[in-house]
Amino acid sequence: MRISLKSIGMTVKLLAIVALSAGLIMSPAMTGGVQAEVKKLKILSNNPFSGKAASWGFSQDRGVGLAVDKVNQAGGIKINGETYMWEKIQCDNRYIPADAVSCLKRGVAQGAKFMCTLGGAVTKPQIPLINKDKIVTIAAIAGGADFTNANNKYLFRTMPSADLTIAIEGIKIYKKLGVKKLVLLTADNVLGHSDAKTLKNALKVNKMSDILVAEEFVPIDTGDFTPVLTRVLAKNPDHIEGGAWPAAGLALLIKQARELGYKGTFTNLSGAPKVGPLVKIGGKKNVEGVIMLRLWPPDQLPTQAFKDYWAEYRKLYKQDPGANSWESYMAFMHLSAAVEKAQSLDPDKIVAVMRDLKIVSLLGELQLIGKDNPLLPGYGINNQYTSPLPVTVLKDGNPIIYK
Amino acid sequence: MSLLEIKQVVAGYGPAVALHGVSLSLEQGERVSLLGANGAGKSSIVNVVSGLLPVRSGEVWFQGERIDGWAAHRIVGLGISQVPEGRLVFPKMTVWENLELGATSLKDTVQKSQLLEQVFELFPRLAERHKQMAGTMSGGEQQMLAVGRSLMSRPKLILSDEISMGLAPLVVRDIYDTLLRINQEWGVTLLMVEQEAKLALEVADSCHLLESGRIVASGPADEMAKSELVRKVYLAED
Amino acid sequence: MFMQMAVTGLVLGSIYMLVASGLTLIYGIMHQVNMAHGVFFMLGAMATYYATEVIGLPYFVALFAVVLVFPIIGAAFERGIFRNIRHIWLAGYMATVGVWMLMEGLGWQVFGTEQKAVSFPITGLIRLPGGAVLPANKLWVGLIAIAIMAGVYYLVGRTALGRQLRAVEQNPRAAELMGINADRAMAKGFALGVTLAALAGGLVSTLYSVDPSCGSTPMLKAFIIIILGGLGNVTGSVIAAYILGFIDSFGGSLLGYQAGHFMGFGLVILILIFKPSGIMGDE
Ligand SMILES: Nc1ncnc2c1ncn2[C@@H]1O[C@H](COP(=O)(O)OP(=O)(O)OP(=O)(O)O)[C@@H](O)[C@H]1O
Ligand SMILES: [Mg+2]
Repeated sequence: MRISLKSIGMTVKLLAIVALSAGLIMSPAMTGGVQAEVKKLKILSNNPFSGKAASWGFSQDRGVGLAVDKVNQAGGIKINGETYMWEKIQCDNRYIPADAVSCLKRGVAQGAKFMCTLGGAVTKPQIPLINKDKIVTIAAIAGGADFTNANNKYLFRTMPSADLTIAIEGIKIYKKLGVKKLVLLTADNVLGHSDAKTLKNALKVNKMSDILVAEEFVPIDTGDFTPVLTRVLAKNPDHIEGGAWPAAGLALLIKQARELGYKGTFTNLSGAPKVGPLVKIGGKKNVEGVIMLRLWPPDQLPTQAFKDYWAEYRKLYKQDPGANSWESYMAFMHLSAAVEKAQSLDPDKIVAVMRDLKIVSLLGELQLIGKDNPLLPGYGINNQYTSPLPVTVLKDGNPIIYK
Repeated sequence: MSLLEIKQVVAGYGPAVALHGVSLSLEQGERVSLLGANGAGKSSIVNVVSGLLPVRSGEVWFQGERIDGWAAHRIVGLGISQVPEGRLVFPKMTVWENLELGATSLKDTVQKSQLLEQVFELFPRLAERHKQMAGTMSGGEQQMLAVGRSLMSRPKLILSDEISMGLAPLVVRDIYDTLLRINQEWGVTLLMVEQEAKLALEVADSCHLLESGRIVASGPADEMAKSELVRKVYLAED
Repeated sequence: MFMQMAVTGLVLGSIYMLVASGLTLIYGIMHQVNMAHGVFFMLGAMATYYATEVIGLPYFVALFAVVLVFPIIGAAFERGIFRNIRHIWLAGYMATVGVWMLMEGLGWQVFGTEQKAVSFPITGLIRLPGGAVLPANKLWVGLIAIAIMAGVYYLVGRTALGRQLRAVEQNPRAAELMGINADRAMAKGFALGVTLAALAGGLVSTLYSVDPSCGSTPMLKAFIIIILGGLGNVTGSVIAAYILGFIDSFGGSLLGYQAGHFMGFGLVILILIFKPSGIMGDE
């Protein structure tokens, strides 16, 4: 064997490039708002604005943005006689954990005391900083007590945790469907793995462990599921749980499974993918009957406030809002109300008020739960938002409430 | 009117000046050699004519047209082709492909195939090995290919740079014989850089002696062979 | 199951080969990595989406339009940005990385955040012996990929343009002495590479989904392929693409994604240890 030094050098150089660019490309970009003379309260929108999770990022960012505008248009908030206006600053973390941390550092340097962010994978490494700098954070993250616990006082979960979705609703749905052979095929990230843990635990508690015949984790940007589907379909499952796929991933997973002859049912209980792209990419026939949580059928919106929100979002962005947007909108309205009620900018005072504050928002009453709640084991703190949780099924390309 | 005329050319590389005002001219059909030690500037002259080395001042004229400042690929089209130092055949292409590339500036396909036939006749070796990768051929064969390739543009002037470099005397002799044949039969003018003084004086009508970027002596080859300077330094006679 | 794995491996290999072809070509001619390759893939996919789903052109007409338009975009990119900096290896790299970042970020603003689908005109499912199935669109995309690759082979290996491109690659100075405009030849090579990337985008997008980031993952895969195949070697990259296709298929089906991925990378590293210059690279 002859090894040419030159070619090794070249190969190493190129490999380095690939690695380097992965890092470089992904380094965060920050954009700030315009400064004015009024007193500002800054909330950092630490979100993916590019990459596969960008649709989630925009969704949350827009929800918070609408809420910020709403509060500011109503004259801002008054603390000890002084008026404060909210300002949202954005930082693109590309759904990369390290970038999210640098986004947070930059946000803090710019004076942000509040933050919205999403994704367990990118939120986890931020937690030490959130706790140290007492950044009041509203986050769309799945998982359970691993995020929401007495140590993480400043971290509030805007979406229903896996304990509420998979462990409670999921088991109900599996029972109703009569699932005999369940496959979990989810994303290979913190979210997917924590969903898997919650699911297995819930199955055990319900003495259903034997129905889980396979679990597989694949990257969130997977385009071709055929190899792994070939593997799991050999077990003849009658139900596939996707966990938390964004629309395109779930659509391709379903389409390719159908192509391989899979006849069973699907759920995607943690993620709330956009229905439009799901149907378009997956094909109307393939995605028929998929069951998801957190999705409201546009013609079955429960309140007038929610209908107004929906209409305004559509007007601005020419598409239906996603679950992340209204959940973050509601959480921000709650946060802002708590700041005003606390009459203080002390984060400890603010979070204490938040935990007990109930407001009426888009879906009716909104509050925080978690403490002393048998359904939420190990939380020990009221940092989990809760509001009515719809179960939807796709019929003829449209979501309808699942009975 | 001379075929090629170089007037007071100054050229160099970065801060270094390689040619300090060189002038020379070639008549149609002439055979001229350039003699000089390593680093004297022989290749630089050839590259100035080919357009690879830009002039800083001075002029280059070919057939009454001023060509300094032209891009190298345009100059080929005028009928100037180079057999470069170190041969520079394309190693990962076949002999045939190398020859085809030599004819890039020609549009006429009939002329192209006629030239190819003529080159194969001049160098039967190339015909035998037309499918072989140029890089796997011997030095002598590669030099034949480089000469053959330069003929494929049907040149009026060939600039050859150190044909003899690293080759056995017999092969060198062979290749020069072919070049002389081309000169006589096709009427191609030759400007030959050659370090082997004896050879340089034998194959050319006239000769220029170059030292540190300046022409220090010029004259008919037989007279130059008798000159004190050339005999002492380049022919190593005493 | 074996049959299914083999078929999936062939399809994936053909797709990988198509995505890597333009990158190999540009590396082969210029010895420069084009980090914006994925951007052109994405733009090709977007162009196909807008041409078919928005304007309503038939799919193959849209692909043809891509073939007509992208050489111009590629040549403009080469002339405007790449030519000035390609001599300096790191500058060429950084500039194309810059374009990648800019275009992807801009893409989310311009094309919106909703993921898009392009549908292939031929649908249906082909049942193969051994219980394997092959969606018709994948079969066709695979076949077209092979045809495009054959075209690339012919062009590079048999035509005057191909000879000129290879001459410039092997020795740009000597190529100039042949009467070849080396700059122009490189621009043509670059335009061709960009067009191949866009065409790959237009074809592969029908199998998956389209968004402004959809070129990044295929591009990183293509990088592995050209390293494994031997930098700039077209045949090497074809072999490497199928190796990777089979690794992904058999690995994913037999071992599951994670173990399969791990084994696959192990195999790639092993090959590179024994042959650091890649499968078909020069020693
Ligand atoms: N690419 C270059 N960069 C810098 N200096 C150069 C370059 N090429 C040549 N030179 C310098 O220019 C001068 C003339 O070089 P040139 O190659 O013309 O000499 P030469 O007579 O052909 O020598 P040789 O017989 O060794 O081929 C030398 O001093 C040489 O070092
Ligand atoms: Mg020389």
